[in-house]
Amino acid sequence: MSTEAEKWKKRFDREKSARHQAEKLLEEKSSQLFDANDQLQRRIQLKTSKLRREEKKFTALFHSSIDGIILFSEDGHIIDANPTICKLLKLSSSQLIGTRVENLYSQEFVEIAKEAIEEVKQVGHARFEANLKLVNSSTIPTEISASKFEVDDQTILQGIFRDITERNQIAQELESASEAAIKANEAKSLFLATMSHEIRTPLNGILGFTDILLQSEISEENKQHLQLIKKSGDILLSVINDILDFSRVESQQIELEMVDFRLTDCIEETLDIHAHAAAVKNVDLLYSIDEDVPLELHGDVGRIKQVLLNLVSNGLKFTSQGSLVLSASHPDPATIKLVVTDTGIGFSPEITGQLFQPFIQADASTTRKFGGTGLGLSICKQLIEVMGGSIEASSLPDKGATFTITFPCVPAQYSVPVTLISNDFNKLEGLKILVIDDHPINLEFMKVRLERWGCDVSSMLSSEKASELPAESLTSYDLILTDMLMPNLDGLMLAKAMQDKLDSSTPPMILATSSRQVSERKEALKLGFKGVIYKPIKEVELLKSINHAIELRPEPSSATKVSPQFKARNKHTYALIVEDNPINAKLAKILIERMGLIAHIAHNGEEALAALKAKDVYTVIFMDMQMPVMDGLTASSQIRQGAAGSSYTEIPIIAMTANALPEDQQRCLEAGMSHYLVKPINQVELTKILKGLKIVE
Amino acid sequence: MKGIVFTEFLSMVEAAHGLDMVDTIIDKSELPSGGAYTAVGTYPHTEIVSLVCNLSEEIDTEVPTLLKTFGYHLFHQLAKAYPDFVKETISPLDFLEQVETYIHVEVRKLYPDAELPSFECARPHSENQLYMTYHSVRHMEDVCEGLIRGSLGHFNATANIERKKADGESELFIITLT
Repeated sequence: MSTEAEKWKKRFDREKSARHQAEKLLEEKSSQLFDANDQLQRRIQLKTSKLRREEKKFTALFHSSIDGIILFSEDGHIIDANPTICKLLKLSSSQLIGTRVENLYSQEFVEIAKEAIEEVKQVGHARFEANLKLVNSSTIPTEISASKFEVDDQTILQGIFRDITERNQIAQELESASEAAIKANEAKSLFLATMSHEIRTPLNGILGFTDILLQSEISEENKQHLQLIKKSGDILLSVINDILDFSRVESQQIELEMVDFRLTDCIEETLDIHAHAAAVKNVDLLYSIDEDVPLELHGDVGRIKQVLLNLVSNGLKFTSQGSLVLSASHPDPATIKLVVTDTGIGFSPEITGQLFQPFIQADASTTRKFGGTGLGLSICKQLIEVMGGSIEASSLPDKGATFTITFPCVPAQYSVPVTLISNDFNKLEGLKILVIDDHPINLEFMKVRLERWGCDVSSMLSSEKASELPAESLTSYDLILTDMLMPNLDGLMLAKAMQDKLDSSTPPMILATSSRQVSERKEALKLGFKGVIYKPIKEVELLKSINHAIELRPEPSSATKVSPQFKARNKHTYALIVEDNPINAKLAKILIERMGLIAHIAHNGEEALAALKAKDVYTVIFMDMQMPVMDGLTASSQIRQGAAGSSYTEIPIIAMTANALPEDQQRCLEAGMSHYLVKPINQVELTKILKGLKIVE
Repeated sequence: MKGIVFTEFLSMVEAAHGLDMVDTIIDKSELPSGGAYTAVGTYPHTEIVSLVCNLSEEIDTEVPTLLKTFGYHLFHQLAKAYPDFVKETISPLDFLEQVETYIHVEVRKLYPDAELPSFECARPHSENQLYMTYHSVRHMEDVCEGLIRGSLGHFNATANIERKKADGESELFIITLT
């Protein structure tokens, strides 16, 4: 039995033990707590240093950015501003913080800025340009990109400001430079036009008077000298033309002059220009147009002619015998193809690629032998390409050359006024024609053309054989068309033989000749030819000639009186020359009076109007373009409007101009001028026009 | 088992039957700990079993009854020691639901090694009826009942308590407020 004391001792021991246990556990817990605390602290440090690094990065970015950065709250108050923007605005950050962000902008940009902020709030970002205003009232143009981000539930808006003063300046300079370039170009154009005129005007004088001297009574030696002068002048003129053309093409100033034109006229006129040169060289100039080629086209006829002229000119230059043929075809509905083939010296295939580059000729000796600037083909290429066409060349040495151009086939918008009337063809239907020509190609072309008109064509290569045909056979023909230059029996001799054989039953005969010599013509008419047409044969001429020949009964040929070269229709036909340059005026007067007219001179448009108003005698006006007081275009329009009286509203006005650019032609036509002569004026052109106007025969 | 169970049990025995009884059951139980318990300590579960059994013999009361009484007493002690836990709720059923979701969660934070029973609560039929499922390897369902009754008493509520055996070794308490 435990005593009370023992019991209490036991209880005490139990309590003590419990207390010790509690103390021990307390210590353990303290230790655990201490460790936990330690760990926590370390974690905090780690996190803190990480955050600090992030903040440092941001701060560095914020401070070092070369663009200005402003942070502001949603309600528009600036929270922070980086050094760049402070420098820009010349304010410290403490001056900026707290102020409203709208105050940064110039008045006129406040609205835009507000809209941008709205956009940022909705979409998250915005970009715009605005001027910032400085305390001293000056402004800085800036480009601003704005964005927003969340930090601890707070929305912060950020604006990045970039000073675009320099950028604007550069843009401004670019614009000025562009304007300057345009002005320079315009100046260049003006220079070209002026130069064109300034150079041609004196050249006109040189060449014109050289021509006149050549036709006067001078010694053979002097004649030769003059011819050299003329030749030099011609070369100079062509060089100038080439340079001007090239210069224009170079500066891309080509604007196409789209007009309605007849392909036939275009080709015939081109060939006509070279007729004489070809005749002298004894090279046949021929053309053919395929049946399916549309004849009424819409295009830049001036430039097409320019190209054709160049190609034909080149062809002739390098050909000394044989023929030069220009053929037109319609390979597909959208294209017209013109091919110029010659039988000249050709060129070696290797240089084909270089041909169309400027300043290159087949070889150096070419320049010396054949002359030329080497610009022609490159100009042709550029012109054709501007039209949307192409140009190609092919050749073998000594086997001639072929130049092919294609251009878009655009039908004429309106019917081109035709000189041919359907009546003209009526009489040709079933007409029996005998064509004689020793050149097979010529013969073929003629046959094809006549057959297209509905004629019944027989052809013979030999004039001798033709003359030996039985009379019944010969008289069965309605018309005989013969070439002039044939071996043994030329055209004239053939005619004589026919007359001898058939007398009055000789069918009407037409002579085709390359020579434009008047004496030959007279001889032909004397021998009984009903018509003489010049090669290259023009359709219109041929048609007229045939119609004329078959209408007339055979007439006794009468020798026509030898009279001055040309006979004016009326005894007194007056021409008014309007030209301010006295030399050119005098030259024109001489040329025109040589044709049997009487020429008066007016020195400008105003004088011209006065002269016309004063006298009702003028049949034709030759109008220079550039004159003081009143220029040619103005004068012409006024005349057409009746300023010189109602009798003169329809008077033919022929422009004389040193400006040979196609747009000038157009302008003349629009002003009411009916024809166009390029200075230096030459006799041939003048004659053509006057004849065309029926002022001379 | 946490020491607090032992210290509260012995203090209950002391209050009801005197210190001599405490000595008696301690001596009879042959405890490795020697009967020296501190509330924050951890002691083998078998010791409380011995103590309870020996007390049951001594006072001739059935073990379940003893445990229920103990549970009831224990609740009040716990409520006194940790008033924050009972301040949270005002309704007994809410409180009981919280035992698992809040109280035991906090206990485990402080005493990760505590072996606590786990509860699943639901009110499938009505707001006033709680289905509380008790899981424990210790099978102290009676203590649980006592604690439940204790909590009801604390909130001045009366209820019917129904017990059913559930899956595994769980006991379902259906507490219906009256």
